[in-house]
Amino acid sequence: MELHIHRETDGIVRLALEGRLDTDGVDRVETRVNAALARAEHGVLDLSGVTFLSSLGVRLLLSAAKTLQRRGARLIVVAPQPLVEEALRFSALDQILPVARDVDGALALLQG
Amino acid sequence: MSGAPPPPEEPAGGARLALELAPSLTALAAARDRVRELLERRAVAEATRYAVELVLEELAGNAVRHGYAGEERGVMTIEVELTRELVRIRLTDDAPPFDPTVHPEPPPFTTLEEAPIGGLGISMVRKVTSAMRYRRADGRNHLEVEVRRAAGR
Repeated sequence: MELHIHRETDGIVRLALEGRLDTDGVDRVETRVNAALARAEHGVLDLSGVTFLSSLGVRLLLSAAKTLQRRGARLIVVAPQPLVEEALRFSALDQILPVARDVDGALALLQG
Repeated sequence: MSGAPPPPEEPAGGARLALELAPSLTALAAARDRVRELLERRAVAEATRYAVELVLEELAGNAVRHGYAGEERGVMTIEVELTRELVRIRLTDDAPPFDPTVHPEPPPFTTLEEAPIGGLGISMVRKVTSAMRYRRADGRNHLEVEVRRAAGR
């Protein structure tokens, strides 16, 4: 599981995850994801490199989104692979987390 | 000639794998890799493999994390049987009794505030499986789960 962190100039933090977001993967990145988002204006989470999402991965997304929301910030999920998108649907997360097709789409959502 | 012996004969369209493991996440990851190898070798569709991995991660993983609560004493078994129509997964463990088939669904939510943190694993498994049966026998949890095979690769 790999995590890449990019800070945009306007305080938006863009994270890209790569690998399996399962027990082990979540263990490896959770602290760094939360730290990177701690002072973000908004978060953009690129899931295009994620091949597997379990309930612990869902929990990581949910708790990050909740933390951001408490201070009026949003988390946008970007480009999940088809089976990961299905897992988002199975956990009903697609109902409450905005999903954008690409990073530009996510930034447009945040500025819109 | 050296290396591993050839795999035993497998029935046409079907195959079987039985594993015994210590209740640790490391052992479970190794078992999952063995299962994945089998399913890839038998050209099982990606969506089906994803469902099987979700079953192992959520149900066997649950047993390791909560059933044994970090105690690595005990024996778990994982059996995977492949037929033309489905993948049948049998899991057993000697952790305290736990029946996921009667585990309540999380309350429905429509906003981020309402969404529960955690408790979604069994619910996700229900959506990718066609049957789930539980019994407690001989001091062990026995769980049998079926995943219908998707078409394609």
